[in-house]
Amino acid sequence: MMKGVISTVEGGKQLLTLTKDYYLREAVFAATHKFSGICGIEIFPVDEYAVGVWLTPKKDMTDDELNRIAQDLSEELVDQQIRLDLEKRNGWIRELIVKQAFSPLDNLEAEVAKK
Amino acid sequence: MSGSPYTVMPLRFRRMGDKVLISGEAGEYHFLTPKDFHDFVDENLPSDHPEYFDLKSKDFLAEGPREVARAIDMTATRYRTRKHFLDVFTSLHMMVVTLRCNQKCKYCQVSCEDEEAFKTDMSPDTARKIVDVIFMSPSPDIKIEFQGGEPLLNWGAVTATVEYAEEKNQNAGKHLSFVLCTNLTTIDKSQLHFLHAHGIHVSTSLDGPCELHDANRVFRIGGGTHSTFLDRLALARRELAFDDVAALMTTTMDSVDRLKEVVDEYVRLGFSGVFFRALNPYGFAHENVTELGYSMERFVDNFKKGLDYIIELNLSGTFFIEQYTTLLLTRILTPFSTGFVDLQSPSGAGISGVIYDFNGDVYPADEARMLSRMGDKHFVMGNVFTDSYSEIFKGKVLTDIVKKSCLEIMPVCADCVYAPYCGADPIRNYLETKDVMGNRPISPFCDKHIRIFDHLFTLLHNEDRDVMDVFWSWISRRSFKEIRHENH
Amino acid sequence: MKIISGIFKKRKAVLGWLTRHRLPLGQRDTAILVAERPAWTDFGYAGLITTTSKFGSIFQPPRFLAENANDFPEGDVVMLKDCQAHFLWETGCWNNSLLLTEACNCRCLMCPQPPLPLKAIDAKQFQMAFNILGLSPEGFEGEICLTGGEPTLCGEKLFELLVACHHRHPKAGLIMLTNGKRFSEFAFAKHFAALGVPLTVAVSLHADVDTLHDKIVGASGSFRMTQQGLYNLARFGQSVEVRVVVSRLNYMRLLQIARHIYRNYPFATHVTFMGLEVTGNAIPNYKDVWIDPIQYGVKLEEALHELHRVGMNVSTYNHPLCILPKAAWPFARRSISAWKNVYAPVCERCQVREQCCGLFKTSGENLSAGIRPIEN
Repeated sequence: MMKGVISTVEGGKQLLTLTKDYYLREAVFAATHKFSGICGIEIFPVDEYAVGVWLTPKKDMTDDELNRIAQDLSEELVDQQIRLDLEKRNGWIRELIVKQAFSPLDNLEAEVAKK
Repeated sequence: MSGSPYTVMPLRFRRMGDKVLISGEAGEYHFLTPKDFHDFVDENLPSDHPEYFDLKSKDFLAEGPREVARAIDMTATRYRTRKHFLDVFTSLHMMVVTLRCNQKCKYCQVSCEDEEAFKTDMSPDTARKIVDVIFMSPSPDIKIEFQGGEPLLNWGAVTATVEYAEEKNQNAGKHLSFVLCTNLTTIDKSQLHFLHAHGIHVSTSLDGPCELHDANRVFRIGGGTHSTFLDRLALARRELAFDDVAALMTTTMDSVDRLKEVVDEYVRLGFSGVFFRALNPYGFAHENVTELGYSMERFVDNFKKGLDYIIELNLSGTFFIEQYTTLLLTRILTPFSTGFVDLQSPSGAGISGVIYDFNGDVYPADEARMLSRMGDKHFVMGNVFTDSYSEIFKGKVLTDIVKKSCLEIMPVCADCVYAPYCGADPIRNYLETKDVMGNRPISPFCDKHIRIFDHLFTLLHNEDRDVMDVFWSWISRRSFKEIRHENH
Repeated sequence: MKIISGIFKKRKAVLGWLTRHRLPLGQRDTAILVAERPAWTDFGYAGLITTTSKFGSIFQPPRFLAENANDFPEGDVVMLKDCQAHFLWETGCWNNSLLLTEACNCRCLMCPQPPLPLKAIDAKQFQMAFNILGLSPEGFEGEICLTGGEPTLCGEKLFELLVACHHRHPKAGLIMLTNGKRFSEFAFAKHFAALGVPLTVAVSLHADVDTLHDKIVGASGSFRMTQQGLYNLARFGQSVEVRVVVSRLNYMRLLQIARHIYRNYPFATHVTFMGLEVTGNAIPNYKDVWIDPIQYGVKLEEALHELHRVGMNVSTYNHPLCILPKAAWPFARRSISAWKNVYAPVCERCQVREQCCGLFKTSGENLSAGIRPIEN
């Protein structure tokens, strides 16, 4: 299990408790969305430091399978964090690429130097 | 800019077993180990690291503002090249000339009409009016595709369209071509002469050897169509050039585990390629969902086996392609734009390909037309008689579809490593979820494509020379011998 | 170029075109007469090549005493200087070169013809090239190679020469060897394209990353300029070729370079990977640049196959067949200019000698350890 994730199984449902320091809200939403096809997702605040996620499988699952999903989800959380971080740092470059492709800028270098 | 030694250019990534696949905005890709990936995105990859040069060469990283600007410019040029299909706008124009059909294939979504129901036949006048609107398209290439039902049953509309379009083209000077989508079972010599005289290509359906074909493709009056089809195919090939007839197959429960037999039949009949097409699980009528029977996982597992078999055929001297693989590989391995209406971002529905109904109504895709017949007019773009070209092609329906079908802004797709090569199907999304954006976690379209892309990228990572030579012989349409210089 | 020794006692060099015909008086001043038995009426020519020291006269043009008059074909352009006849244009050759300048804005570690410093841009050299062009028999249909140093440093004058060259030899295939850097200036590229002269621009590129390429060409910023130059040429629809010289510095990246070329310059009409000519700068830099081609044969074949597979026109120059993997043979070309083309003694027994490019005379003893005859 990844850092900042505690996982328990209760009555056929999986509960993940996520430390807010490690996982931003957007990362939690983006990661859990990917599993919304196989699980019902419920996200709620646990306390000021943590967020909880209930995963309720849509089909019957063994505890092992549930644990597997929890593992996958926690890996996905890390990846979503990476994406958010990259977007924050360099999302502006993507904007410039599309702009430059269809409506070339007069002075691209100046635009870049501003950042 | 920060004080770090390099800037990470925009990328998308996916973990695949013991490696990480990354793709750039314009479709560059590279494989990294997880450790190297983390070091790289954390801006900790040393400049003498073995991967550093490759990442720089592929514009995944740039050192300093000037280099970043240059990398942006290069990537923008490549991005624009891939989106060239947008410049061309609508080149594929499909005309549903009739809903009548002499066959009643079990999976058919289009025709539920009695052979006697002539009121949904397109009149020659309507056909000509449609051609007028077709020629307003800015595209220098115009492909008119006759669909149905069975277009041969409304031959008058076909001939009227072809003759009128050719006449108009004398002034318009476009590169004009025609395709007839037909089951071939009722075709006669005079029709073939017409096709030959006007250079019209034929696209027909062959689901496999007799047993598989006849399991689903039956006459309205009953009985399998395979032997009639073979007979008419031979006739068509005598009257037209051999390669003017191409065939598609539809994978059903009967054939999903037997794709090798389908390929064998295609090879036996001298076709140079097959397209492994899956049925859409949400059949047009939702009661067909259980009928479909196979999951996307099962389909793709068999797709992979079928592809392996086809590669073997090529290695032993038979040139034969799988068309969907060729399309996807062309997108992954070449910098060029590929026009394939059903897999584009923004969606090709409406902007690259458009469909005209018997009464002149214009739709972005066939499913939109069928939705309309069932009462949901959500996707009617307009009508050739009552609306101007602008109203139809710049109207709210089309702009709404375009806005919501760019992968770059769709949830899940925006982060997907395959975004540069994949596409959107907004009509299908609407059918499945009532929302044009769709919902990726439950989308069979997404499931299928992820599985296929995963497989292709695994093959690309292996870089097996035999497999790559076969792939490139498909992409560049050259014989395997020529790729291997075995002619010398 | 081809050089024939003889006896020439004049201090001043003579440039002219060779002829055996006795020309009308008004046409003699640019011609060098080749005559075994000169007559006293043979005056007014720029020079005289003869095999006999007899028949002298005070009116005779500067005399070059040669061993064999057959060495001097009709129409060739020759410079007589210091007891040597330098053949600057050969009608019998399928390709001829015009050296436009010896100045260059790069300092390639392996340059076979090290350049003069930039300030010494030599108007005289350029004028010589122009003169040679003017003396060459019209209507040459082979390949004319415009080279240097760096031809684009000649600026406007280059454009004049290109137009003149095309005018004089409209059917010749023109190719210009350049590092492409000046084409990064949009106006220069535009002016060039506007000339309308059918010409292939052969651009040197030695790596897929700036640091490595710049190191090889000895000038920082070169890679980006060359890249921009290639793009500008493509924008103007010019015929572009890419040439990669293989050395110890880049041999490990041949496949990546090939892929880089396909991805970035798919418009190139031809790509070639060239073996090293071990002369000029390659001698002092020997340790850094020399690698026995046997050691990179496999990598080279991969790169060639890669570009062939994707549909580009690719070849390899200056690699004898014996040191190439057999799969690379279809790409090998007879690339070495006749005047510096030799074969090793062992090549006598080789069954593919006729198809093989052989060796550089100028490389001397710096050869691959793998030279051997192919005996099926």
